[in-house]
Amino acid sequence: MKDNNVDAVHLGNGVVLFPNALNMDWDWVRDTTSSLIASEWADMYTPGIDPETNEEIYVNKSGYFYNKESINLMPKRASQAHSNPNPEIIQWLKFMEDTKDKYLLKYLEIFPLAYKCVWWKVKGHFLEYNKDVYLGSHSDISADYIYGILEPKNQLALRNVVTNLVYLNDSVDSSEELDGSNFIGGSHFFNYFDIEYKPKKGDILMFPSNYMAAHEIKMVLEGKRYSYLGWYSQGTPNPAVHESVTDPIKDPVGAICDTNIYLPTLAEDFRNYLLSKGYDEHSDKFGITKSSY
Amino acid sequence: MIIPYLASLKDEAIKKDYTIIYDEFGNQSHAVNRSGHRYLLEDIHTSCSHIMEFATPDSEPVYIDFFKKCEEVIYQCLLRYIEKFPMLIPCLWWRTQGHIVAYSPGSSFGLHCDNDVNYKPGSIPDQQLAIRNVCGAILYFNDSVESNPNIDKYEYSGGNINFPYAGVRYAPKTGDVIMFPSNYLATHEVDPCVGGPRYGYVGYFAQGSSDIDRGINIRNKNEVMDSGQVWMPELFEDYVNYLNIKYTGVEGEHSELYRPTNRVSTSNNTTQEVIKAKAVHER
Repeated sequence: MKDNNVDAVHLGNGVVLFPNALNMDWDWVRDTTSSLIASEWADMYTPGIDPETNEEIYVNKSGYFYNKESINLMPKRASQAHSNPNPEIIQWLKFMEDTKDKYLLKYLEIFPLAYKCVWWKVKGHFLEYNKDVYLGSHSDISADYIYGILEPKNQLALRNVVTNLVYLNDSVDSSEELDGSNFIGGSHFFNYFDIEYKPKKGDILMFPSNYMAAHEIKMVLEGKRYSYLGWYSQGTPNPAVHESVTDPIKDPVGAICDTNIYLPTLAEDFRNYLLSKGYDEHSDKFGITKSSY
Repeated sequence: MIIPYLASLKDEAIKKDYTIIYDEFGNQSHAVNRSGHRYLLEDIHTSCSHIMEFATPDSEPVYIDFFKKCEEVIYQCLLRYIEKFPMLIPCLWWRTQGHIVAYSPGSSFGLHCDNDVNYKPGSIPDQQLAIRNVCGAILYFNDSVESNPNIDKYEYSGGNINFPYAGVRYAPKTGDVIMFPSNYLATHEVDPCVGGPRYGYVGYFAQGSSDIDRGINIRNKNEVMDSGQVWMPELFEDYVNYLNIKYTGVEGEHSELYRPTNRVSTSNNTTQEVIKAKAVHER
């Protein structure tokens, strides 16, 4: 496992690519991701009845309704990986999280004002898109709300500031290039920016979580597409909607297996990063980290 | 009419804007404004001030009506803004009704974004309303002109709003409304004002449940004109009606504009809870 320490490529509108940001044993990564997803799939959906139509439906863990056909057209997810006791998996996830946090500093160098809106992170979870699976346009800060009827119980997404993705395998253009490790299609398209990104393993993509960066994942035409998705977020957890964030200084053990983790050293890390890049301590970028005023 | 009225409120507002904080030796240390941001004492005079009490029960009805109209105009602009970015609408639950921002001669506003509450590790702000902001609107009450000799009674020069990450510079014109995201992508600053004062009416659109401890308390809209948080019960309907009028009979050709309003799923953790919620609502 290696952090390649690459430079940021700003694709525009806050969408930043770190090409070939990290190296891993890709065959092992794919196999492990696939088995983590398979082990969570069994209890991903709860069968139920739609109160509006009385049809048979499936409810996912965040409370969204799906019909039988559509659950197979949605990406499959593994979100419990951080509580997996396997030391090899713990070490691997730590590497990906630590590496992402380092690339966040490079992102903040471009958008220093984002720094003030990053308090904690939602560690990554894994996604698998099978053949024919796609995800329609959405932003990463919405929850399913209807005035007077539904105030969603899970509002954690509303906290998101910067979305981050680690790509675990390649998108290729033709069936001749398929070798069991890669896939065709599955590009990430930003609806309002006209930016289309084609996944490559080891790439890290960071972008704003808000409606401006609404995006869709185009259909996977062949093969399986794997990625690791997390967020940098802000705000004191609201107990009324069961939000909780672990402070790794107060609870270092909990911080290993919990998903939402404060970033207490971000100010220091960003400051040291800027110093290492040779920025003048009086530059605007430092101004943001320095004082409470 | 409105500029002299605002001028009459401005000085009082500056006094109410800041609380002076004293250190352990009893010396003035710094000031904290109403939304919990800390200011150096010398910076108070070069910062904008916020007029919150502009339509109280004691205000003349003509002013109350004026600001109600401002709220309505901004809402109509919101519908047009959603048409440009339809994926915004699922993120709009309520609005923070506007307040007036006044820039006295010489004052400016440094780089900031509208959903930042001045957090740093170990010092968590009490007031976190701004974190909930998704997008904002500013309605301008007077003009920026090119240079000082052009300054007439209610004008000023400077006072442009600049969005460095978006590469946008805008010089205010009376009656204009600008709308922009509240996140870091729309980080902005206001150039020092010459002449003036410069007046704008600022409101936000936001999401998330009430959290009283953090200064978020959403109520139903009523006759009271203040800068509080009010639900927007008819937003989906109003947006769809707006589209229906604009694109009569051609819904199929504009499906991407309607898409976020056609909900295919609902969420409340379990089916049973949804059934219960609907039963309560129907009663």
